[in-house]
Amino acid sequence: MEEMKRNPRIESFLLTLKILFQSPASVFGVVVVLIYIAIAAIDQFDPSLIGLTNVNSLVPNFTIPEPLPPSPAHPFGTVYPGIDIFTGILKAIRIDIGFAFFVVILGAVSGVLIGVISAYFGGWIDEIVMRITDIFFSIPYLVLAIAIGFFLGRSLFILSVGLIIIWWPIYARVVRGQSLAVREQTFVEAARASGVGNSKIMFRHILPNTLAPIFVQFSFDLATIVLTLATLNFIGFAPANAYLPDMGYLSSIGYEYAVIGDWWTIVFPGFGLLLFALAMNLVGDGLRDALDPRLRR
Amino acid sequence: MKLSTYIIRRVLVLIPTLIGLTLIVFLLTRAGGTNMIISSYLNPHLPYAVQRAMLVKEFHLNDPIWVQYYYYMVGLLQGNWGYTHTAIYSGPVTTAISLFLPNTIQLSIIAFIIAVVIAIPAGQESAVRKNSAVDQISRFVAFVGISLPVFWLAQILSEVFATPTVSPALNILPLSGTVDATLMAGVPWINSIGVSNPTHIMMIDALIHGNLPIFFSSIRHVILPAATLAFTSIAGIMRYMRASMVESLSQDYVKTARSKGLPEKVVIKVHARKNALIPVVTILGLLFAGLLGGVVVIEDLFSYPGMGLWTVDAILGYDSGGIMGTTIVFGLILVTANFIVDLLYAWIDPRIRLGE
Amino acid sequence: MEKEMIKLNQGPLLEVKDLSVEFLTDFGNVKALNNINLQIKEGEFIGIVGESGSGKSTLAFSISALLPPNAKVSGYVKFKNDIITSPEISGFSTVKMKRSQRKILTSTMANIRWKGISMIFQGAMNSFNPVYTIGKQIEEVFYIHTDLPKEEVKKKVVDLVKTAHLDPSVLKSYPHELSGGMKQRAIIAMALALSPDLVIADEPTTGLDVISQAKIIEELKRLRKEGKIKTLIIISHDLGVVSQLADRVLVMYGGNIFEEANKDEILEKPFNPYTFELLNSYPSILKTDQILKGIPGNPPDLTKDRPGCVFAERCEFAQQICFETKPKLMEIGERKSYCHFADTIAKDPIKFFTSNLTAGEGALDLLERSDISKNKTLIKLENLKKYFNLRGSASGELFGSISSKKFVRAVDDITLEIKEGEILGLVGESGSGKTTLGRVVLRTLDVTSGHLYVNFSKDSGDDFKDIAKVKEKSKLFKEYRLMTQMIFQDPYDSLNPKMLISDIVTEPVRAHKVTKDPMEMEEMASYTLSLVKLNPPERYMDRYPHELSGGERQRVAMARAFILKPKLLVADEPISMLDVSLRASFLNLILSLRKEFNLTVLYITHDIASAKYISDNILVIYLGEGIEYGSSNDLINNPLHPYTKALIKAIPDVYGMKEFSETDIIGEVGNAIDIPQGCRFYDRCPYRQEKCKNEKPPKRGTENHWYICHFSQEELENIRKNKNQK
Repeated sequence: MEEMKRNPRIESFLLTLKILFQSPASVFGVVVVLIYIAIAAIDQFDPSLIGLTNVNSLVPNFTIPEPLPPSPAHPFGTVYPGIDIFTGILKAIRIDIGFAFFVVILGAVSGVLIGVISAYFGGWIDEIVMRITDIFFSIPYLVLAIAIGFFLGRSLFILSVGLIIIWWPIYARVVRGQSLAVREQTFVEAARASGVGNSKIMFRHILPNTLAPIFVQFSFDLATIVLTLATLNFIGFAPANAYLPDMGYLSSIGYEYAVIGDWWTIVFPGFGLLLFALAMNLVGDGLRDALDPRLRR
Repeated sequence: MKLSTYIIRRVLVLIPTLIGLTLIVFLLTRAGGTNMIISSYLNPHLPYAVQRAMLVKEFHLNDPIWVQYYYYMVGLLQGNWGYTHTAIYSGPVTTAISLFLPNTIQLSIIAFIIAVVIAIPAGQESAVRKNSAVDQISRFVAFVGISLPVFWLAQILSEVFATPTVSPALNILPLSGTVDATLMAGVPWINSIGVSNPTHIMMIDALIHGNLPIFFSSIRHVILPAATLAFTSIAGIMRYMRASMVESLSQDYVKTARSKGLPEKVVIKVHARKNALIPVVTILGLLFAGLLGGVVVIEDLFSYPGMGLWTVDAILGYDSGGIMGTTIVFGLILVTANFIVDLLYAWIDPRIRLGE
Repeated sequence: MEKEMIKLNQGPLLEVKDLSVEFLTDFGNVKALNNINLQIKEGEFIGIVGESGSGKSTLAFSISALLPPNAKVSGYVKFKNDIITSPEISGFSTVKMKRSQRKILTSTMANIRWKGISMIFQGAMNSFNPVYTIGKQIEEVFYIHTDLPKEEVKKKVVDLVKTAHLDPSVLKSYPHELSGGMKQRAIIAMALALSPDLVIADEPTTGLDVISQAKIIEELKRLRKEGKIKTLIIISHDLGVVSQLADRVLVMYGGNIFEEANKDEILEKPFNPYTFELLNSYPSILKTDQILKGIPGNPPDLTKDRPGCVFAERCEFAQQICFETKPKLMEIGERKSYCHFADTIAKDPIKFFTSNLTAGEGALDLLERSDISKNKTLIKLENLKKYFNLRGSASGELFGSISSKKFVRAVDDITLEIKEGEILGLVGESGSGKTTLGRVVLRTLDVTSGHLYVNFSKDSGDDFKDIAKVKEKSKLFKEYRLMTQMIFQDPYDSLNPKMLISDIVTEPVRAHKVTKDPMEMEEMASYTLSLVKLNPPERYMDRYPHELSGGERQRVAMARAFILKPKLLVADEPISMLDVSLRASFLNLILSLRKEFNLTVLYITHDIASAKYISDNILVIYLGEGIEYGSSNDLINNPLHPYTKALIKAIPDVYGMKEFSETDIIGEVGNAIDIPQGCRFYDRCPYRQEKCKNEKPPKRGTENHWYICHFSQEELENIRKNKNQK
């Protein structure tokens, strides 16, 4: 019998998916995340598909400013001043997820590069990089984000740059730790004995073997960043009349009304956040298992 | 390495960390511009230009950056931390710290203890009964705990337990403050701005002076914020403890213990748990960092007058003195917490304690 | 009542009846044990031998009632009167067991564990809990099982460690502070705490050095003589270790008992093809010109159902019937054998095994040694040294004064010549510096001082250049890289898990830019894979390392090393992590490459028997220094250095029992930091005299067989006689 030409790289990827989808929790996570990403993409490219206009701002309606409970016209109700929560959340998904991806991708890329360089050169470069990460780990990240946003400007962009500055050390540490462990494995020495150059060893042998925990960390961090941004906006980073489509901001304007019994003003935006963060965490947890070499034998 | 050498080394590592911490705050303020630096010293009733010129000279703002840093550090060390003007307090930053820091320490330590006391046994049980219903449920709760927006949880808890308009039946806890203000009037060991003596931590001072009403009132006030704060950390510790315990239970020494005929309880408690705790201890510092982040939001929502509430008020009031102060203090709390965690780690693991 | 007691005492101590164990895993059900029957009488020492996946550990767990919850059991294990493993109370069913049932079970087991059955685990591993002292962990046994007061327990524990020849001070130590050998003795002490009826020793010497291993074996023999160990089950992958201790040996393969017989019978006249072939896989220092055959193929996949014998696919004597029906464990007198042809074999084993032999690998001519002494020299090492700085973190340096700066003298002053086409065995214990020497020769580690002359001549002439200090970027160095290659100990660690086999094998081609043509590269890979007998090569090219077995991976590593036809191959313990049956054929592969391509090999090993099998010459290395050198036959038949003598005596050879007395060697291998001023072996040498302490010993003997010692052979003999008189 003729053996089929196999593509081992695709097979390996399919194996990851297969293990990932063995757990219903991961399936749930993946589905939810995909739905969020789809909404964000529709917001970005053709918001009219889901009947949205002006995706960059919440639209107030001063004719009926007071909060209305959920109804067919406003499935999640409204919040002062007459903002429809449902469309608000749909718009917020694009901003929040886009922001989170921007921060985590840039944070991860710069962190991975710095970590690899640190592990590769070792010596005093490594010592300095590690001391710098120590410093970043010595301030609670939310407090540092506040300080950065406060002094450098309260725009979303500055905030995201600030969070990137805060986030790279996590990846630098993970990659460095992994690299040092991988460096001790004999296939690296085998490559050196074969005459393979240093940079090739770093990028062909060491880096690919450090990626599994990076993917896991990446998923967890997407959840954390979305929550962090919402929290910052909630405690007042976005000015009161910013009309920023963000679930934290939505919650902060709903806060006063919730206290007097308008529960929907906080329940839905909060749930929108919870669902995404939960899904992302479940994906991360599933990935951890799916990429675990011990389970792939 | 002896334990004493280990401690000395650990103390030495503190120095670059502390320099780095102040350097970050210093650089941020300098990036913010001259007005950011001097705004908290300005007196609105005096001419701006004169004051500005004086302040620029006082802070050496025209000098090279490292000279500025030198004077900044000298100021910090001499206790000259600037002024803060926020809704809850206006005056020297150092006084504000003495006012708010004890409350935050009280809150975060109570929350941390609650979190550890619940999370460690829960993680252990989850690992022992891996894949059972108990495990599945606690893992799900942990995931929800990690994914919950802190402010959302705080809102919901405050509405359920502290808002008569929403849930009159369950309105059993106070919503704001650290202690009933009426109880504090005329108490000799509390000074005019509300700082208690001698420890500054209200709960302990109340016990020292035998003032039970204040003690119980401060407990009632701390329950909601501490519980909220704890919940956010439980998930992380539990997840880590579970993984660590599963690892530990699969080790050879656990097999040895079982074959020795030790009851399963002893195997778990004596042999597996202590080893599982070692890696958990190493990440407690990181988790404490997350907890301090939560402090900011939770103190704000529960109007709990601590560092976090001050921070939020400083953001809203564009108060640079407050932000500089809180950032450094939060940094110092975390550095101290990490230091204690490392000592704990050395104490718990004989491989470090006795070393080579 | 009394009558019954007597009857009980005559019955077996332990009975295993129709025991099958299956593990339920995500990747299918692993049939770990099939229908095992076994009886052990009081006073017997039973050995169980098997390779990985043979089921020997599962059997040990069943006997000690420690099966994990994912085990599905049928049949039972009975200890004295109690069932300790059965479908109702073991593995799978314990998950859903009622509380009351569990209580009863726990109380029965509490009586049996450690009082009835105790275990000696592999001590070098994690068998002691790292966070408690040894003393606490031994005392614990008494607190659980007896009501003795604290002082009495302490006294008993001190007595116990003394029986195991340990100093009572170890009781206050944590496990990480003890050497492997000491830990193993402590584990033995703990196992004997309650004078158990049955002791199970699971790989008790694995991970220990040869000499520590010999001492542990002696220890167990002594404890039997003294009556401290009544009945023992010893489990090992090493038939040598088992044959030193056991009266009766069980050979296991693929979850079945393949053969059961007295030790001598099994070693002399195996009744089972597997045993026969396994015996043919052990290199022995006692047999000259022995041809090892090994067993072709891979260990069986136990998740698959097969109609026939589990060994059929690898068996050289397999017939049609072996693939179609399962054999039965046939009783032949006192012996048992699991084979369709057991009866035929029993009638005349020699006839069966010689006449039915299918064409073998033709290993015979591999051992034919051409005279290499006339070959040109490929590499010369002169006073080669490699020291490592011992330093902690940067902040730690602040406290260390310059005077206390320490070195690890991993390689200290080695002078050596390797001829082209020679296989040189480099033998030493762990920590001897043998691995470092291999790496220094390849220059993956820098040289501290000394010379490394390499003959770059393309023809028969000499063109020596010293490359000890040559820069890595230089042309000469690159040329040297092209001449040399390496294979490593751990086949799981030495292949990049993210790369395809074809990419791994062709990596040196790309690194040296030999060709960029993908077709040519594929051809080279394919040719080399078939050279290392991975056939057909196409089956392997598009796979990842994790899809291959350990033996196959090691061959891939060999293919990578050999693709550019290097002149020198450094093989660092290439077989020590392979199953016994796979080792011989890997050694034969090295021999065949040498024969065909005149390859020069530096064979690094702790296993002197395998070094003897493949090497022309052997260098014994101790704490970084070469202490004896000679042709492999000379060195092994007539060792000169006290250390080599001890080392050779310590080998648990399948074909010979030796008494290993305490005076042969003292202590355990030292470290290369605090080196004695005089002779390096001073601390452990049984012949040591005053002058050995401070004077460097001279080189003795001939150029072809030298050793480093203050004494000639006669002098050593005299010292020995004097000592024995005392």
